[in-house]
Parts: sequence; C-alpha cells; structure tokens
Amino acid sequence: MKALVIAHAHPDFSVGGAEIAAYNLFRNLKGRSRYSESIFLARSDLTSQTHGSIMLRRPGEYLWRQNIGDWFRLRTENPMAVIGVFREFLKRERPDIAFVHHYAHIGVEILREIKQTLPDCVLILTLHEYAAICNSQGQMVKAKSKKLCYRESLEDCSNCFPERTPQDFWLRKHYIQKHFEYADAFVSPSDFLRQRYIDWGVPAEHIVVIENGQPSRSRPNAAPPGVRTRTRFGFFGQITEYKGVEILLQAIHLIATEIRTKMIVDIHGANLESQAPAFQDLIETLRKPLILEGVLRWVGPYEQTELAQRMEKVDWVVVPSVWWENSPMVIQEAFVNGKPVICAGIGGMAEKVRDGVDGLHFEVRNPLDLAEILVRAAVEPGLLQKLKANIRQPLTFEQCADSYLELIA
Amino acid sequence: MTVHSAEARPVSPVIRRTGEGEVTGLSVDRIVVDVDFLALSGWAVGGQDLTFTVPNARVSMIPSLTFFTRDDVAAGYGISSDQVKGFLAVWRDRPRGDMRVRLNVRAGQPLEIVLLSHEGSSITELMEFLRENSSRARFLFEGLVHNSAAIMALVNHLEVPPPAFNRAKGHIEHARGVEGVGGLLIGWTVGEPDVRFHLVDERGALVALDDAARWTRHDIVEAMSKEYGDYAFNAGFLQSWSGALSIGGRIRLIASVEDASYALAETRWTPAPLDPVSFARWSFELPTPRESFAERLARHDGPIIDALIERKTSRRRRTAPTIHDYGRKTERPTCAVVVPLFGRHDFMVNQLLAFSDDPDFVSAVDLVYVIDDHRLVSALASDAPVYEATFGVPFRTVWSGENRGYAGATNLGVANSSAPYVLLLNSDVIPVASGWLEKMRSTLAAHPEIGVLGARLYHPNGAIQHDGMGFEWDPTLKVYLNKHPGSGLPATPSRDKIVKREAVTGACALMRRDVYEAIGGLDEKYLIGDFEDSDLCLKIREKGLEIACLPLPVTLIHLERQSFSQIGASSFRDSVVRYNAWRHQARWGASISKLCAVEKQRTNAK
Repeated sequence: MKALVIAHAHPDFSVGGAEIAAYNLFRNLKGRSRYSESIFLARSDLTSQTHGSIMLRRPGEYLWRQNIGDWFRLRTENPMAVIGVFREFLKRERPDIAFVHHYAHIGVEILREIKQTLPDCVLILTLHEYAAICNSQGQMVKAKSKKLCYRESLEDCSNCFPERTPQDFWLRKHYIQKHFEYADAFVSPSDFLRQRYIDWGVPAEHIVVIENGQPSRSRPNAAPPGVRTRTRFGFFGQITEYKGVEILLQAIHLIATEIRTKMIVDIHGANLESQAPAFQDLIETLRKPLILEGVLRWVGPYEQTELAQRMEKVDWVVVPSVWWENSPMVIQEAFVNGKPVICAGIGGMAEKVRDGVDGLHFEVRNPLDLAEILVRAAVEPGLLQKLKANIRQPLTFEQCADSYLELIA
Repeated sequence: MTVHSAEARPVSPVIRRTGEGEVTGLSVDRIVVDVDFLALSGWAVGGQDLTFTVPNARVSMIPSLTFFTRDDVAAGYGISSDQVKGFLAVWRDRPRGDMRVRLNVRAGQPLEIVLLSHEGSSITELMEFLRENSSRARFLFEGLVHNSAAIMALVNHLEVPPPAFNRAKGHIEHARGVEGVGGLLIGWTVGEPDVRFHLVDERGALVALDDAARWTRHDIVEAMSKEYGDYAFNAGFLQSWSGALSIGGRIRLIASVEDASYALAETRWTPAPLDPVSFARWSFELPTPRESFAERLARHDGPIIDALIERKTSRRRRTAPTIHDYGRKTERPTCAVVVPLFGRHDFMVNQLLAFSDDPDFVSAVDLVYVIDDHRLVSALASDAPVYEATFGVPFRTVWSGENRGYAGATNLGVANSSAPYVLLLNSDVIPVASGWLEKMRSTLAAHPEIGVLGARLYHPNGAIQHDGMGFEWDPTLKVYLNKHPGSGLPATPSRDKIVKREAVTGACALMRRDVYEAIGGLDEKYLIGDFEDSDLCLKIREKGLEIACLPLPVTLIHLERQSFSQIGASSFRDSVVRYNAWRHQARWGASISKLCAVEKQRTNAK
C-alpha cells in the first residue's frame, strides 16, 4: 500500500498545526513496512521554484508551487498544473490512499483530480478550520463586527460580505461541495468542527473525529519546582487579532496590585510586528506598564524545539482566543507537558479542555472573567495539583496514524 | 354695393354713410394665397356679422377667424375705435373659386366684396402679410401649423418678450436628437393656463407642448412660486420631436398669449446617444411621474428607442461570428443547449462542473456559450480551454463582435448550433441532479401539440422559483406583467406529467428547432432583455401550439438575480422593465386579454 499525504505547507518552511499533523502522519506511515513507499506533497511558495512545478525536496517528499487564485470559491490559481503536472504525478506515483490535509493555498480541485485520475484511490480529507464554510478567513467570525458566527446561510454570508450576493454564496458552496463529494471520508480533529461541517452539509456518517497527534515522549523528568514566589502563566502562539493576547493583558490590568505580585505572565509569541498598526499600538499600550511592574514578561518567538523547555517553566497555559478554534495545537502541547489550560469556553477549546477537570474556562472575550480565573488559579490552594493530575496524555503521532488507517480498513 | 377685386390685390374699401352720419364699411387689405392656405386681413365698420362664401365650393368654407382693434382705420375715417373691427381669416384648405366677403347690415343692403379666384401670392407678399400680423402669431400658428414655410417666416418675426411681460416663462435645457430618428426636448415652462407653448425649429416645424410629459421641478417651484404660485408646479416638460432635425439646428420655445406670441428661449440640437441603451439610460433619468410612464413612452421616448433599436439592428456587422470549439465536437447531438453570457462568466464553472457529472447530458448535447459582452472575450479565450481540460465537457463559444442583448445572443447561438432540439438555458441555472434534459426531451417528443416545454426551477432553498408563467394586469403601470405563480413557496409534489401554462421562462425552455425557426426565434427589439420569453410563447401560441411546463423534482437551481428584481436597487433597470412591458403590451395586450378571458372561463366552468 502506498499513501500520499498532501499538505498546504511543508514544516521545513512553516510550523502551523495542520502541516505538522500532515507531516507526522506521513512520517509515521513511512515507518510502517506496508506503507514504506508513502510520499508527502506539500504546497510551496518558494520563488526559486517554477509556478505549477513539482520538485523533489528529499526522498519521498515533494514541493508543489501552487496557490489559490480565487479565495472565494477556493479555486486554484493554476488549474493547468492540476490537470498537468499534478495529474502526471498521480499517474506516476499511483497511491492507494490519499490523505489531504488542506486545500488552502492549493485549491479544492485536487480532490476531483485525484478521484478522476485514480478512481480506486481512497481519498480522506482532513478539515483544519472552517474555510469551506466561511469566507471570513475560515474563522466563522463576522467580517466587520467580528462577532462570533453560529451558522452559515446564503443570506447571512451575504450580509457579512455585501459585495457578494446570496447567489454568489450559493455558487461558492456548490463549487466547494461538488469537490468535497469526491472525498471518501472526512476527518475532523474536533467534534465541534465536525458538527459545523455536518450543519453545512457533509453527511454525518462521512466525517469522523481524529485528534491531531503529538510526539510520544514521557514527560520530562524535571526536578519539582522549588519554592514558587509567583504563579506562572504562559501564552504560546501567534500574536494576531484572533488569539486574544489583548484580552489577557486587559485581564492582568483588572487584577488588584497586591494579587499581581503573586503572579507573572510570560508571552511566547511571534508576528506582532506584522499585525495592523492599531493592534500593535493596543498591545504596546497594554503591555508597557505591566512589563515595568514585573507582572508581564515579553519573551517573544520560539522555535518548535524550544517549546517543551519553555512550557516547563510555567504552571498554567492560557489560550484566550477570540474565535472558535478547531483543535489548537498549544492545548495538546500543554497536556503533553502536563500543564492545565485556562481557555475561552467556546468551540474547539471548550471541547479539548474540560472545565474544572484539566483546565478552567472563562467567558470568551471577557477580560474580567479571565482576571477572576487567573486570580483563582494563582491563589486557590491545591487547584493546580488537582487539575494536573487529571490531564490525559494526548494522542501520539502513532496512535493518530493508527486511527487514520482504521478508517481505510 | 359690391366691389370686385382684380387678381389677389387689395381692393378699395367699401364705405357707406347714412343721413344720420352712421358709417358702415368693409375692406380686405391683404389676400395671401399659398398651396395649402388662404388668408385675408381686413376690417369692418358697423354692420352685424361677416360671412365668407364661395358659391361653387362643395363644402362650406368656414375660416379660422379672429378680430382685433384697428385704431388706424378709426383715425382715418374719424370714427370711434370701438366701431372698427379688424379681422384675420385663415382657410387651411384653399377654397377654389370666387369668394364673397359680406358684411350684413341690420336694415338695408349688405356690403360685399367679391375676391376673384387667383393662383398663389409671391413670397414677398407672404412675408409682408406675416410681418404685419406677427402680433397675431398665436392665431396664425394654429391656423398655419401645417405650413412650415409660413410658420418659419412667422417665427422669424417673433420678438423676445418685453421686460414687463410676466405671463409666462420658460427654458429649453436639452434638445438632443438623432438625425433621421428624432429627439427629445427637455425644459420647463410656467404661466397661466391659457398661455400656449410651442416648440418650433428653423424649418418651421411646430409642436405644441399640450401633450408633453410634465413633472414638478423643485428648483422651479423654489425660484418661481413667489411670483407664479401654483403655476410653478408641473413646470418640467419632456417632449419628443418626431420630425426631421439636424444637429446644430435652432429650436425655439414660444409662448402665445391672446394674440401675441413671444420666443421665450432658444437652443440648438445636440446629438443624443445613438445606442438605444445609452439613450434610454439618459432619457429614463428624466423624472416624469411613474404612474404615467407608459403614456410618456407611447407619446415621447418609446418610439425613439424603438427606432434606435431598429437602427442598431439594421447596422449590425455582417461578418461571420468568431467561433471556437473546445474539446471534441459531439457527434449527432440530439439537443443544442444555448447559454448567453453577459457581465460575468463564473457561472460557467459551476455549470460545467455540474454537467461533467452527467455523462448522458455531455454525449447528447451541442453546448454553445454565446459571449455577449466585450469584457468577457479575452477572459474566455484564456479560461475556456482550461475549463474544457478540467471538466471534460466539450463546448463552443460564439462571439459576434458586439453585444446583441439576450435575444440577439440567443438567436446567434441557435443559428450556430446543430441538433433537432434547442434548449435555451440561462447561465445561472445550475443542475444538481442528472437526467433532466433527456426527460424534458422525451416528454416534448411525446407531445407534438406542445411548442415549448419549460421546467420547474428551484431557488437554492428548495422553494419554487419557476413553475410556468401567467399574465397579470398591473393597474398602476397599465400593462400586463409576467407572473410566476407559486414562486418562493414550497414545491407541490413533482410529477412526470406536463402542466399546460400560459407561458414559461426562457431561463430553461426546450423547443423543436423547426418551431423555433418558424417563429423567427426571440424578438430582438426589447431593450437589453426582458419579456422575450413571454413574447416567444405568444408567438408560438399564434402558430396554434401550446405551452407546458414539466414539474421536475429539485434538479435545476435558478439563481435568479435578485438585484435585478429588487425595486429601487436600480431605477434604470426598473425603467427598462417598464419600457419592455409597454412594448410587450402594445404588441400582445389584446391577445393576452383574450387568453386571460378564456382562462377565466375555464376556471369558472370548473
């Protein structure tokens, strides 16, 4: 058996959750004798590569220079490369199974192409966010008001994008769904996301939940922390408008000064500099006095390999995202490292973190609510130990791959 | 006492004085004869009524007659001026033979002048006459309206109103026309109701503003109501000019009060858009009342737009259209599917994606996309081969080199297709299941009495979009409009049995090619595109064939462009609908009334 894993990026160049999940699935399959011939095809935007071409990265791993030409219908920029280079690639490699981890930056046409060229190939599509459902960057957050969106409908979507009619949204949905029809099954990393896709029109029996895998390793056998002078909270991830860092900073401002002396928040995050100026200004205004005061430490970007080490230093991981999320990698990483998670109580976050069991929920976008939860986490005796004890080891890469293979069987 | 004139010369006055010093008199100062009129001017003193008789005339010759004071005569004869009546008489059809002008006197013999039959005055005489009587221009305008030479001469003697004149005001803001077609004049007038307004050009063609389309202009109300009160309302006018015109030629607005006429304003013809849609875009902006839009069209811009469409159609390129075949041509197709493309072509992607799922469809049709938009030509040239390669559905594109509108494009597509059946299909009709076309075709094949077979179409939410059309009288627009019974409502159970309808939409309509050709296809004279489908159905009915609809299950989604049907979203689009409704009404009003009566009878009989 030969599997082809397709991702919208190669982890050599990009460290998003979806590409890491895809790559680890590939690596894990390749390690199994039955799937030793498996290959990985990642979309690339390397300017050194010709548009539309497929190029060897290393044995079994390929880069495909491709992009989306029409983000509205998720149509490829280079359709001739789909029916040309990609078709040739499929004919040469003839995989028995294709695991497609994303169509973002590639286009949904690959789904049809795979089944048209290789009708016997089993096609599994893993859904990583709401791109097919939602034109608002796949976030299911209203385009202008930034309110959370609970359901798509042609009329609601047109209200979000007044320049597009409900008919346009029908065409969008029709185009995407017609291509989704070529998938034999869908995988969703969270039940929440699965339900959204069922509401949108994917038949329930076609879509299963398989959590993204995590590296299998025993918890670092670090020495137990010495005397803690402050409770340590950590934020890990991108600093964008959707990740809620500003909510976290506002929450710290709302905590009484004497309690603030009992805690510290570390921000491990990248890409603030590429955000909108207004957002950068907001963050700057909020963080400056806190840094001076010593309750906030702005640590900055980290390499994936540094994560475990950095996480080890904190007591709690905070995930204050202002959108639904799907299955944020940081939650799995926190659990791998034995850290309870404080998160917004919606969507994929609320599903992955059990409130009062292995973490705490606060009301999404509510700094005061978060402030009270942080205070509770900082001062309630025994809480941290209790929640730590309840943490379940996340799915390993290997277990994840097993689940994918069970689908085929 | 009778005096005979010699030729068309004035004769000496006939004067009679009685012993008591009472004076009676009759004079004809001037006689003007032209091919189509005769005019006399003169005066009478005392006496009773004036009569004009031509003994040999077959019909009585009663002139248009006006009286006025003649102080010069009163002074000359030393009598009070209220005793003297000047008169001006005009005959439109020139009486042939000698004419007796008689002033009847209470007691005694009438005074009489016999004017001998004569043949035509010189231009100089005509001019002199008109100059003398220019203060009675209003009377002459009405009497001589048919004689443009006389009108022209008269207009040249018109004066601008004196400074104190305040009975009427007016202005011409636009005179836009197309030579050989006609034009529209836009402006405003205010004045007392008995003031009459005319437009006149330098050739003497005269049009009264009595039937102009009028509307209230707020700028005029604001500026004029202080002086004119209520008369400032309804000042705006729109008046068609159907006669000859030349760009640059002068056109004047004339106000006539009692006897006097004044040139209020003057402008020159400027060119109007030659393209009917561009013309309509301009003229439909002129805000005459909506409730009388049909009337306005009938009297003013309707015939001009009609003529411009005709002009455009007759000047079409004669060159062969540009045709490209993508993919292998279908051999012996059973049905041509003709889809016009205008504005955007992304619907094609969804349509082809859907067709590609229906191999029977692909192998049976000759699929023709008619490009009807300059903006799409280049995009399609690069996208079409990719679409064919991606979806594997062969098709043809046809481009005539110009935009022909929905009907013109469809007719072109049908002419450049082959197959015994023709399906008219809109680009925004997307199938979501297979086998529908063959079902429609076999149904039509089994019903030779049916001329056109439509299909039930659905909104994206599964409600009915189209299930056959009917006609509905619109009392505000005073036209029949197409109605879509059941549209927007949940579908009744679908059946395989056809349902007879008054008409069906052209968004998805199947016909035998010979029927399509026999009726000459779609009427290309509607503006942009509208009503051609019901027009087509009515033409088919004229041939004695019937119209039916097939109530398919949810198979065809019609993304009816809501932006087009939303009232207010585009007032131009709305006006276009009204134009087409007016044209449709003019052509089919009577047939539809009959059809509706039959329908009503049938319903009542049940």
